[in-house]
Amino acid sequence: MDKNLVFYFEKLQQNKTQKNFEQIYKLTSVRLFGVIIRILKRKELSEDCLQEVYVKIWNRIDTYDATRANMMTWMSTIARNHAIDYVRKHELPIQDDFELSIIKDDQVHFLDSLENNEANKQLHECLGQLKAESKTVVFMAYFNGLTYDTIAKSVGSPVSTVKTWVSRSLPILKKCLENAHV
Amino acid sequence: MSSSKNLAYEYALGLLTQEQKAAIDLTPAFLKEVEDAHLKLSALQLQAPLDKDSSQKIWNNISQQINSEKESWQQVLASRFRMWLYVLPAIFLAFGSLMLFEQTSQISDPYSMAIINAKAGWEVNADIDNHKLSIASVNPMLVGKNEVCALWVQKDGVTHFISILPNAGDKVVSMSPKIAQMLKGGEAIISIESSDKPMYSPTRIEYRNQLS
Repeated sequence: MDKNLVFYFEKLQQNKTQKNFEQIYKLTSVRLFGVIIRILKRKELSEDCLQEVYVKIWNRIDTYDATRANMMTWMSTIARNHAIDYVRKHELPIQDDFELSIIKDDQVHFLDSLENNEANKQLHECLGQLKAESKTVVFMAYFNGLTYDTIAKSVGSPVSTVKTWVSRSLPILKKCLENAHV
Repeated sequence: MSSSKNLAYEYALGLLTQEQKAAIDLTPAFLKEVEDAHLKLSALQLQAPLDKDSSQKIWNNISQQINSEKESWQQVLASRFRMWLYVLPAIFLAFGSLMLFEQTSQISDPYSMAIINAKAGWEVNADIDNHKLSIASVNPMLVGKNEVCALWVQKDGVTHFISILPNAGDKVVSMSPKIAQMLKGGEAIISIESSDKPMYSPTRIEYRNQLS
């Protein structure tokens, strides 16, 4: 786990101030946003949900038990569960239960192994090999739940072109992801 | 790389429509590939599209919400403190009055003797000199399940509650000299009251007699 995160989290537990919590937010918000938007698929809703998640974390910070889970796992689990509750509470359209279970426990634990700046930096650099349009398509699909058809309409290109972008980018994407997971 | 693995990634990325998904043969092997793709793709979450401006805006909202929750807790505590500021003196006053009554009721002072000739069921002897009221139940009182007999004294248009009376047997009520003084020349009233309601004044009067 990120040493900065451990440092600020211990500091926060000793002294529960907004200043310390803000550091935690800066270090973790992108990742928790990733967990949430993967479930909610919509940016504005995910931002709203992210806000609720951090307020929840702030209120529960005293209950965190380091012997049971590392901090990032604990926070990611709160984010995932809150996002699923958010879907149900706001009666958002979901395709099936499979969609809600996409952020499984093993994924949450797995993300912990990536949670350091070096791994993140490597992944960022690796994804830089993807052509801009291919990266856009992958991100639109993964984070916004858009299909080939809707992406094609959105970017104003034929579906066949979008499929070509994806088929060319998938080998690079897989390589980047596999390296990140080592 | 097999096309099946590409399809698993396309499936996991969410690129396929419901119809396209429905057309796929979901074999255990394929589902395993999809699950594996999901796991690998989760690394993308570290690259989630949260821009700096949105992030700052969200933090500002979180900060405000935390502050307002803290304030609301402080307000709750303050309002509770204010409530107790009023309630506690009231409790002390009520308790103090009760103690005062108990203490004064034990003070001895000579007063004249009076006998109340109770009619139905009661015999009330007022020993004003020794500021005592002796109440004897001549015949057991017939009261309902949730009813009691109460003794009152009325003087100068004001009715004072003295005591609950026994349904049977005797009861001696000690009074303070002041109460005994007040009783003198007053009118004793015995009434039947509901035991589960506060008693402010006689409800069903069974007996009245002037104290001498």
